[in-house]
Amino acid sequence: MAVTKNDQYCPPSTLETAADDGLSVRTIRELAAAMNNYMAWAGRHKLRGQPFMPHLESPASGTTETLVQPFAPVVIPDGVNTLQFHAGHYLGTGTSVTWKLYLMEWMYWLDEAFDSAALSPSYSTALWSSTSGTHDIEDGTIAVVKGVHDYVWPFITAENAASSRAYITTLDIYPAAA
Amino acid sequence: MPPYVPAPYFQSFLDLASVCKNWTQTPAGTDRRMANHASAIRNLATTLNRLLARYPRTMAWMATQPAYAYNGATANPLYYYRYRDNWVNGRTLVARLLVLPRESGTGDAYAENYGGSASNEETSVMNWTVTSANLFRDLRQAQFTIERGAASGGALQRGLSTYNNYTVIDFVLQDQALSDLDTASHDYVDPNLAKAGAEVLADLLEDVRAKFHTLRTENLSQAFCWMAQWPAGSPATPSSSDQTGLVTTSSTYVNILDQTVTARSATSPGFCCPAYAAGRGNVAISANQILNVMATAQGQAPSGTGMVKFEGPLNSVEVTITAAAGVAWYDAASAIQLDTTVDDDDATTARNKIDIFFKVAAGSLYLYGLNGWYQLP
Repeated sequence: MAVTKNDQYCPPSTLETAADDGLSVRTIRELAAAMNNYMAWAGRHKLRGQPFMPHLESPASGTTETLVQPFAPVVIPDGVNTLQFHAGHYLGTGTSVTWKLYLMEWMYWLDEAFDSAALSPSYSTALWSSTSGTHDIEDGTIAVVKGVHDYVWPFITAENAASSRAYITTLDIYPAAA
Repeated sequence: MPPYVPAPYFQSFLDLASVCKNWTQTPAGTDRRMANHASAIRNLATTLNRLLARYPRTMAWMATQPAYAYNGATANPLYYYRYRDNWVNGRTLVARLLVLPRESGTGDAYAENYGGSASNEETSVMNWTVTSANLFRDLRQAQFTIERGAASGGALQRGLSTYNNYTVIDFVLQDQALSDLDTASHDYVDPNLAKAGAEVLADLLEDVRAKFHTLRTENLSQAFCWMAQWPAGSPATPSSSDQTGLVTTSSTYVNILDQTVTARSATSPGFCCPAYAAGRGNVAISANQILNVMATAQGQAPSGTGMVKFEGPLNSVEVTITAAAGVAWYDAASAIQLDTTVDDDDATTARNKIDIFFKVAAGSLYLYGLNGWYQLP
């Protein structure tokens, strides 16, 4: 039996799992596939399905990378190495704003003016840019970095190009498909 | 049986080929029928214990950009939210917060769980009476736990209540991840029943089947969550420039996140929801290839009937906000359907994205909370 994980869940019958009944290979196979499906697909609980109202704003001025929104820590199940994210965003003024989503093994709390030297030894990041005034959705992945505990601290930074400002409307994050 | 059953930490997909096959070959190449090994059931049992202990659900979340949240001396907002919690498993919830100290005043400042009245589940007090020089450098982390207890299942309402200018930047409510399962209060299976060399009977597997079925059908993800600030515990007349609520006067549907958007598209503002292979039933039957999301909205329409529309890739559902009624939760009567054949990063209109629109017949429609959760068809 190879590993199967992308089958939807078919509840195994109880007919052959009563006391003293025979136990078929099929029942065990179905349960194993169903558990694999749960780990790979169906059991991926959203860490965020977050609208921002008011919209998350990049800094009103300046062109340096700036901390925009820190998030409270969340537990990531062991074995989940990558998160999938979708960020709804658009450019308000100017030409371009670069967004970065970070995962860190503890809280970044140094300053609004972002200092990458303060990042812990282990962190990961994913970036995208707002370059259009129409709504767009960035579909990306980010590696999970954890210390000795189960938590990650996500946060978002923004870096404006000259005379630019952009906004984030939604952020969805959940474990990536296995 | 010990009172605590250890839960393995590490995820590995189950491949039971070596212990679960219905035939084998002798060295001479003759097929012989084989029985299952007890270790196959033991593997299923330990994996299920891991799923029961170490796949925490995230039940609610709220984020506010510090520049908007820092309301100084006047705001003690109350945040209401709902989630579906049909999985009664003795699970403790952990509320984690990022907070800022208040600018002035005396007395204890803290946040607590609010279920209609005050509770004893609260953060430790924070009494810094200094003007914050840097909204980020002064950030602090706090948490409290909420005992699940014997609360009935279904859609539960809770609240996060703040006192004495306790300023919450971010809030997330998540199941406690467990290292072991307490046999007195948690679902668990006993892998020791499947001992090596023991007789393999079907009833060994029944415990695994039944508890996994409950987990798989009841312990599903939240889809989206938004909660307004209720200053001093009462809903305010919403403003588009703060988090006091969403408001529209439009008589035709407009997107709650951008009222210039009037129709769902591949990139219109909405919530992307994973659904691939997460449904229930035979994948060969197209009617089975859906996953439901149930939606609820909290709001009021003082002058005319309000409507909220949740639109997914396959259908849309509407909620009617009764005219001139008080603030209340309104549940969608049917489900938003997600397509379980579509990849998570599909970038077309087929993507599993739920847009929310609202309109009102007369006057204004105010929304104070939006929640959605997965449910199997």
